[in-house]
Amino acid sequence: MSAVANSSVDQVFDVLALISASQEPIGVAQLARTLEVPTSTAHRVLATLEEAGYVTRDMTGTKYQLGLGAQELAHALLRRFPLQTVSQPCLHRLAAATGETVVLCGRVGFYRVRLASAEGTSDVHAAPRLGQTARLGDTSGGRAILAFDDELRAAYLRWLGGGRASAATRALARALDAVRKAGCVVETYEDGRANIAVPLCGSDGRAFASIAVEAAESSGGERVQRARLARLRETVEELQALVRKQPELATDPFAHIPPEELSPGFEPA
Amino acid sequence: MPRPASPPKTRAATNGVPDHRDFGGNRATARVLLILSQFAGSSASHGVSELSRELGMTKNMIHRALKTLTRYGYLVRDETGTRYQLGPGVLQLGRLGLEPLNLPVVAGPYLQRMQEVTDETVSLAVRTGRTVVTIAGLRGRGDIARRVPFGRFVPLHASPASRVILAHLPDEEIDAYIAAGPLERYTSTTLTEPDEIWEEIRRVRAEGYARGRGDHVRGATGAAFPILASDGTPHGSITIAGPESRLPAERLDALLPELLQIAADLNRHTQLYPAEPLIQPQPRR
Repeated sequence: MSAVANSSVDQVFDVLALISASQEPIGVAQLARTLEVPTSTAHRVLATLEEAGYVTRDMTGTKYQLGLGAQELAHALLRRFPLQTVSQPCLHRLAAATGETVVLCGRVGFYRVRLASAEGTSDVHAAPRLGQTARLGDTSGGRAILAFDDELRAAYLRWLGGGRASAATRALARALDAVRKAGCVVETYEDGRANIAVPLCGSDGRAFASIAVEAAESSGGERVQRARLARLRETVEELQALVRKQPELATDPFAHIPPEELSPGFEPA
Repeated sequence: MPRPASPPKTRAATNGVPDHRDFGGNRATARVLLILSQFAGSSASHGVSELSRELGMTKNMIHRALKTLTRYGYLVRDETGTRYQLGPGVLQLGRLGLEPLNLPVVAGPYLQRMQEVTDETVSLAVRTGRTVVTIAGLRGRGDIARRVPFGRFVPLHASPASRVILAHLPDEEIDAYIAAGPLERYTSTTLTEPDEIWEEIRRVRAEGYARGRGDHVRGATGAAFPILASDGTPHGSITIAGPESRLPAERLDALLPELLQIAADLNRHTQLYPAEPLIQPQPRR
């Protein structure tokens, strides 16, 4: 396949990537400028994408945003994790009991992906978006998984340091040791947010997912945190019992591909 | 940090130069997008022959498209090594995260379409425990129109907006609802006997909508359509209602195919999302 024959497809996927990455709908002129293509080309590419349902126009009819067809693909990928639907009632009960937002974190290669969530019932609560990905080591939900899978942890640290130990890999290794010892990730941030995450482990003891309680405001002190953690552990127990009975619920749709070949293809936001 | 191999950039080749391959290239691209869309369905993986058969494209076309889509990470080979499944690249499409379902916003354009098609009052209702409540709507355009019953609570067994939600609940929940009672009567046509309610549920499930029968407001006509979640349980319902003089049964029958289509389009959107369980917030201790 010659490079020239690809150009049209490449342009389409470049435009699609740009539109997915934009906070706001984008106009034709701006797209053309950003991608350094003639306006006529941008028009043609957008027409193709719109026809296929991958982009749609905003209310003004002049700017473009991600269409239902594209979102369906991302949702379809999340559905390949059987735990997504099954865990929903548990997540909602936990959100109601704690008042805070609860997130089921899965893993795609070296990335944690938000598979499902239940919004907190407090008036102010964290509002994380489904499908968001971030490197495992950069989030509490991801670190809960990393700390409870030795093989994955070793591979991740190699990947992170490019094969060598660095200050970053050593710091992460220390943090993961602490998580392993405590059995959970507990983190508070300067802006008052507080996260707790506990791994979901299969019968082999390895983590395949994690559940995080993401509190929006000052966590209300240690007593509240402890109560929240206890309730979170009950939910994890409940789901682990379910997985022991039906091991296929822990299925990793990408188990057959080495994690280093599975980068979702962009830097985390 | 390792990054996926960048696809070859070829912008310079076409930049500013009228592209005589435009039309052919466009068609090839449309084919690639169509093939990718096949993977949004319920089956986890697809093979070359199967796609070729289903889409009426040559195996060679399919091969080329799959190769391109794999290069972008939109697809990967599955564990058999011969078939393809969605790859992590599609998460790029949810890069900013997928919007949570905001039912009134998502349903807005469909309420409007139903109102435009019928000129009658349309409303959006959701369940709260044993009742259904209207949270959005548009009044019909005629001199005489049904009110949008904003904030009105109606039990699950009375009114089409309620019955269509009841019918899409799991059987055990319906049994529990009927057993707990009371099943209030509003008009002479309100269904209050368990057998009658179950018969109506079977009809609604078979036909895909609930018909107005004046069982909450006397003489009211209309039809209600379910708004379903990914597991088939209801997010809510969308209802068109009119005065009998303007919306007799024959007119409703004639409108039904188009209304069912609008409801199906709305459901394509809402079925991406799991149902939100009903949770009563507990007081903070």
